[in-house]
Amino acid sequence: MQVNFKGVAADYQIGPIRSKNIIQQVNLCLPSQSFTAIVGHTGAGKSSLLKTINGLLLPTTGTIQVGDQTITADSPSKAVLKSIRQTVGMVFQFPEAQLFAETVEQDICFGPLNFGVSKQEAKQLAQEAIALVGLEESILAKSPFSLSGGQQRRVAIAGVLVMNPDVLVLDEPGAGLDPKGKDEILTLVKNLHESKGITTLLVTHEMNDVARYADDVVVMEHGEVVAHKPVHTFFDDVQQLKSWSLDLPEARRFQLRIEKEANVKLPKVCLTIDDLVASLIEVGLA
Amino acid sequence: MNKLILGRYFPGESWLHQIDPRAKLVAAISFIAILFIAVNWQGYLLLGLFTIFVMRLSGISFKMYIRGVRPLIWLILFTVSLQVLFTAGGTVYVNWGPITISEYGLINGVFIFCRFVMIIFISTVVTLTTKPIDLTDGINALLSPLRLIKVPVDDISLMLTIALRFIPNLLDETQKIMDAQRARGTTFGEGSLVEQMKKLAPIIMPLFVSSLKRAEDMADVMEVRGYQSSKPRSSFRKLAWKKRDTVAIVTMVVLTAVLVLLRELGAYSIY
Repeated sequence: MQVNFKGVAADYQIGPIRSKNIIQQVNLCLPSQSFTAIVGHTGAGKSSLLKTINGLLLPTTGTIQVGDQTITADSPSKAVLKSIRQTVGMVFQFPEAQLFAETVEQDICFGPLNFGVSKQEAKQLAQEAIALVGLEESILAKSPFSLSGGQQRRVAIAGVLVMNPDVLVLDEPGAGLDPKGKDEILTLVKNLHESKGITTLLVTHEMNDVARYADDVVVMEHGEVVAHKPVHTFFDDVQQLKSWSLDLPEARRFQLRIEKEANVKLPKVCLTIDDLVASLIEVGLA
Repeated sequence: MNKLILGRYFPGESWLHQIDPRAKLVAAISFIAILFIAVNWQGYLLLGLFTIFVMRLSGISFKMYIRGVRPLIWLILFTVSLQVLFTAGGTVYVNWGPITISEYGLINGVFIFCRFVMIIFISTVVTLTTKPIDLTDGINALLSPLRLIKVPVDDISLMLTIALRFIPNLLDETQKIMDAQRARGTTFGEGSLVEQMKKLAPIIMPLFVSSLKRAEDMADVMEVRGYQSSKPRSSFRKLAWKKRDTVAIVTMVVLTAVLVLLRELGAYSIY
């Protein structure tokens, strides 16, 4: 499902104080079934941009189109919001904070029941979702608060995936997890994206993850989208990256080092270690 | 969530902002006390003018104060209507079993309404112009005589400081959790009262869990850093009594005197 931002600006109103625009003049088109990473420094407006997609933050100007539904500045009808929230799954930062029910099953069923799915069907969906995130079915009967941090995170993600979203939005889903746990969750997201064709949007600070999982990159700075490029082109322009003070993925950094030391130019931009090894073999350096 | 004005601090440089929190607290408490001295319209007029004067002095727009009263308006109207319906005396306008609407009832209702609004306005002035941390310092200082009878004043003020300190965090967190649950399809402020209350569980539960966790973490951190409530504590911020603080207190004394005078002179003219 395609997501299209046209001239979107938004701010937060805190009591009587109106803050300056958190995001401004965002024109962005995320094609159907794309996997896009959003990068940028803290306070660049990444999380706020995510929130505008399902109407948690309404734009002050501009429109956001999700599939054939449109969000505009004048508050959209509840029906529109509900249908958008059903199609857009949103995994917030530290999503385990949203767990509340007595059992994992009840918590996962919360979303589907809100969207009018029958109880029987919701339970069926919960079983599928819990398998999807790689947890045992027996966990459904446990209290979410008795689980480990990593398990809680998976349960929370299952609670979003259970609604079979067409668009999946994730705000640093790996934050605070050990490297293995983080890789597992991102791999899970990538697999879902590939098998179900979910349009995926991932906010992250970690360039290695961008290189490994994303197809396109969006750079945000001071509430504006300053670049939207395929991931290979993005990591090609080292000078530009430096001007945004963004890091390079490890493999790419290693590649540049080798190119400098050995005074060769590898045929392509290498984003993973496997890429790099293949390229090195190709030019006869390994 | 952001509409609550009472209990919020507004940075500023006004004369009121600079008054010592002790003086401000004493003045506010004594204002609320002397509200009950006024028994006639002259007294209420004087108090009303004084309230408006103080609100002007804070340099914060009246709109803000009105907004502070709004969430409490139903409570006020309920109390006022009880007064109106169950006070007898003077000319009776409506008589319906135990319920009568009488002259005294109406006058009483108006007075109680004014009293409520002024109490809210004045306490809003105090919280809007005083940093929460100064407020707790002030309360600590005012309570300190109670130390003599073994009241744990320092613990109480530490509790207050922590509670006030975490209000913004709790508000942030509430907002985040509400967003997450709204993304999962809940709509707040819809349906019957029972339904609406049920919808609060997905917010309250996570809030409780995280608050308990935070309390535990904080207790650990304080202990690790050697906090002991039994030891005497020094203070980083020292409160200093200035001339304007004396002026504030004297103003309150004068106001009280004038009110007592009005009460005697007015000789219960309306009452």
